Amino acid sequence: MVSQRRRTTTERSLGDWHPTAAHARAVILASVCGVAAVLGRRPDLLVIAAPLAVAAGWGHLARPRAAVTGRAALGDATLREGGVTTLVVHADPPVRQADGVVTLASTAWVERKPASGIARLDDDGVAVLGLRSLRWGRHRVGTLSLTLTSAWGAFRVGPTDLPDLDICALPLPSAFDTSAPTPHPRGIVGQNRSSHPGSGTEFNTIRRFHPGDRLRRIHWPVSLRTGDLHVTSTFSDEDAHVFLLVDAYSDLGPREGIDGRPTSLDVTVRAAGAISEHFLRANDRLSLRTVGAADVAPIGVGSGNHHLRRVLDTLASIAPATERRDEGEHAIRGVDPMALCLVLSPLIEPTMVALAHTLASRGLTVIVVDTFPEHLVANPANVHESLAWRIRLLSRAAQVHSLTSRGVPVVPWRGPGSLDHVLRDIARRASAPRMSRR
Amino acid sequence: MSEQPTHHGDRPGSPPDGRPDGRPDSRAGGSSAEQPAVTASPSRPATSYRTLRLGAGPEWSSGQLALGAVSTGGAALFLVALYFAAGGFDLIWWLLVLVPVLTLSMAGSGMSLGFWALMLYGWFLLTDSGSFTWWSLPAAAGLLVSHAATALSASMPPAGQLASAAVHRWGRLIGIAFSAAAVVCCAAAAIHGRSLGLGPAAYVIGLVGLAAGVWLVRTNPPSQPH
Repeated sequence: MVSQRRRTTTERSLGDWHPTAAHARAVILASVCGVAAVLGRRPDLLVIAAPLAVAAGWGHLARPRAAVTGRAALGDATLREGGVTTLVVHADPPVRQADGVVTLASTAWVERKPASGIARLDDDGVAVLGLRSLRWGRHRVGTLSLTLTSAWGAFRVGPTDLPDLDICALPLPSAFDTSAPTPHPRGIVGQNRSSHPGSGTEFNTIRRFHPGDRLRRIHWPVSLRTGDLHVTSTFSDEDAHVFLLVDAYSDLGPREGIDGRPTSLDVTVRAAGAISEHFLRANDRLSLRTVGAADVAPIGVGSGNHHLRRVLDTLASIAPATERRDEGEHAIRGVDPMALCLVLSPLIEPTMVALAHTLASRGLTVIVVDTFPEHLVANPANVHESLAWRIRLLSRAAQVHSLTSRGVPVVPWRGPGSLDHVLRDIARRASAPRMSRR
Repeated sequence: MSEQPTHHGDRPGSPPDGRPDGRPDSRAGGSSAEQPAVTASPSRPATSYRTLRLGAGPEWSSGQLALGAVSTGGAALFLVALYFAAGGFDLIWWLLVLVPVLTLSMAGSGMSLGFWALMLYGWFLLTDSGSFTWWSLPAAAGLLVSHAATALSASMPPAGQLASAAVHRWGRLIGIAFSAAAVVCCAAAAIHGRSLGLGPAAYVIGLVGLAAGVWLVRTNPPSQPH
């Protein structure tokens, strides 16, 4: 769930101090050697036992008596995949002349630094470990345990496991940009040129001055030539509604994280993040629905940076194929008829093809973004698997053809400019003469 | 047995820089300075250290291996001192020098206590009763160094690195404790061969004092390392 609370700080009492085997060794050997030296008239044994007696006495006298609490805090609980943050561990109160060791267990998709996950507390009782997220999603930082050992290694507290911490790695958007206009703009704050004259930046025409026109719009060359005041008129800028439908039915390919080859869901989520970032920064409105993943709340229409954060947070919470019974009917219910519908899917699940057909049959502008990772069909390490995928793509081609024959463009995700061609085609199609019934 | 180089900037506080500039990879090209919650990381020079894996066991850091070597060196020093103090012993005793390194993974157990109890028993058997030898001083040093190295080794995981501050602190502790052995050794050398006129009552008082000392430092049974 998007609203799920993430634990970013934690603390726990480390418990009581206990003597160690080293302290027992020093006490027993010093005592036995002392007795043997006295009874056996062996001054050399007394010499040998003297340092151990010092160690035993020192270790006992320097025994910490304060209860120690271990605290840990994440520098940033939300970061991009591939991003880094710090994990700061405190021992409170700091124990003088004590050796403190912090151990962070290994966990999936979180890289530790040092790689061993072991750090020592400094004199102030503080240790800092580095964390790097290797894949988008919600991850639990590995179990953190803290151990303190007093002078001469005589007494120890811990190792005590602190409650686990969570980080959220937002998908790292692929590079994306488009210069093509978004179809059907109808808002008032966007950057898309509408067909209505108004206040904007896109040139429309030069006309006579009307009362209410801004003086800075006066076009002086034409005004001087004609003898009447003329102004430059523009088209108004409007915002569009972009509807994203994300396929979370499957996650095809080996999961290798940010440093490896992407899975289909990696491509889908990163593409959705990139598209969201692009359109929301252009002041367009955007909504997001997910199909095939449980506990992912739909994101309603919104705009701005805060909305972008919500979208990325929702994308990070996707767990693939956790709701196989989802037919997607809820996802496409109540979609704005003027919205630009972008369906992001590897098109392996027939349900997604059916949903694209349904949206198109409602008269919506639909574009299917194919997020099938190409490396699956060109894997020299496993020719049989590559062959199987190629056969599967042949059967998928019929479904893709059914979409294109219906007028739904299917474009592979290529990053920047992926949608330019189809968006321009859609804009031309909207301005083309069409047959209407009278 | 495999030796695994691990390249990381293991300075505490330095985040894991996956890229030379410490930033995510080039796929971040679409993001700008207004990205939500992007954590920047300063670039730091990466250092490297090696770990050693013995069979299917855990990885051992160079610091832990050094502590094992120091502990073994302490046992060797004790045996050398015993050899000269006793005027020689059977060669089989030299095999005991291998015990600390073979029990490296049991530094936090009672194994070391049993080992040093055996070594001290050997000293008690092989040296003459009532005698004093200056070789007891290097023997005390060997025992102390081995004890400290084992205690420090038990205070951290096998893959843990030694901090220079900890090494210096333990070095000071060892130096101070060894000075006690030197003082006792000088005192023993001074009074050796002389009659102090001590009667049985003095021995009783001494033993009672020793028992009182042990009683004062009594504690619960030692905790088992996890």
